[in-house]
Amino acid sequence: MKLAHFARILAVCLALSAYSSWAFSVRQRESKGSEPSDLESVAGIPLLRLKEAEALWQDPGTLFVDVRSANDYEVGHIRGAISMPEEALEQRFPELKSRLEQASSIVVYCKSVDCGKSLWSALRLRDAGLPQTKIYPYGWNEWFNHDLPIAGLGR
Amino acid sequence: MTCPSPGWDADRPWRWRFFRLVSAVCRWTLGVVFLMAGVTKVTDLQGFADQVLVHSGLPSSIGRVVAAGLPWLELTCAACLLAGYAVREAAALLAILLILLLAYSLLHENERDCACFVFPTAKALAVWWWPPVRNGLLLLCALRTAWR
Repeated sequence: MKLAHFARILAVCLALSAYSSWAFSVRQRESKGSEPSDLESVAGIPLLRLKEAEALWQDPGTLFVDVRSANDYEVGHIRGAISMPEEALEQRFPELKSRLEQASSIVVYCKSVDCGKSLWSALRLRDAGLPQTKIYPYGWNEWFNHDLPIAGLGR
Repeated sequence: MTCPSPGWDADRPWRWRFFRLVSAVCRWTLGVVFLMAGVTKVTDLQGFADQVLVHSGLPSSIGRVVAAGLPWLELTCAACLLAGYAVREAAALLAILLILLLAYSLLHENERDCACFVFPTAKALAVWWWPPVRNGLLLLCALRTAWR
C-alpha cells in the first residue's frame, strides 16, 4: 500500500465535499431569497420565521403541532409539540380538539420548507374552526440546526 | 535429484484461480455496492443530511461533516475499485469505514436503520441484525481486497 494513494483518494474526497457543500449553500441562499420566506402568509395562514416561531414557543398559550410521521416525532421534535401526523389528522383531531381550541396560537410544522404537509394540515385545522393556526415552514430542520429546545434524540 | 511434492503442483493453479476469483468478486461487489450507495446519496444530499442529523444521534456538527464527506468518500473509493486504481488503498479506507459503521450499528442496535445505504427510499428493515450482518460481509470483502 502506498501512502500517496491514500492521500490522493482523501484529497479528491475533500475537494468534492468542499465543492458540493459550497454549491449547496449557494443554492440554498438563492432559493431562500426568492421563496416562502418573503411571503407573509399563504391562503390567509401566516407563515412564521424562526424568530417569530421561537417567540411564540416562549408563550405558554401556544401549541406546536408536529405533522411529520409518528416515527420522526419519536426520534425528535420541538419540545412541547404534540404529534398529529398529516395522514392521521382526521383520526386524532377529535381527541385533541379541545386542546387545540384552548390554544391562543397553533403552530403547525413539518420537516422543512420542501414538505407540503404543514400547509395541508394547517388548511384543514383552519377550516375546522381554528383561525389561530399558523405555519412554521422551515420546521424541524431549521429549529434543530439552531440548537433550539427539542425533545427526543436522547435529550 | 529431488522432486517437488506431487500434490502441490497439481493443487496450486486451482487454488490460485479460486482465490483470484474470490478477490475479483469481492472487489467488484464492493465497487458496485458503494457506487450505488454514493450515487443515491449524492443525488439527494439534503435528504441524506436530514437522515444523518435526525436518525444517527450524532451531534449536529459531526453529523454535518459526515453528511458532507461520506457520499464522496464512498463514490471515490468505488470509482477506484472499479477502475483498478489504488484498489488496496480504497478497500482499506472502506474497511475502516465499515468497521466504524459496524461498531455504530452494534452499539446502537435500538436505533432504527436510517435506510440510507444503497436504497435510501426503502423502508427501514424490521430486523435489527441485518445492517451489522451486511456491514460484516462487506467488511470481509474489503479486508480480502486490501490484503490480497
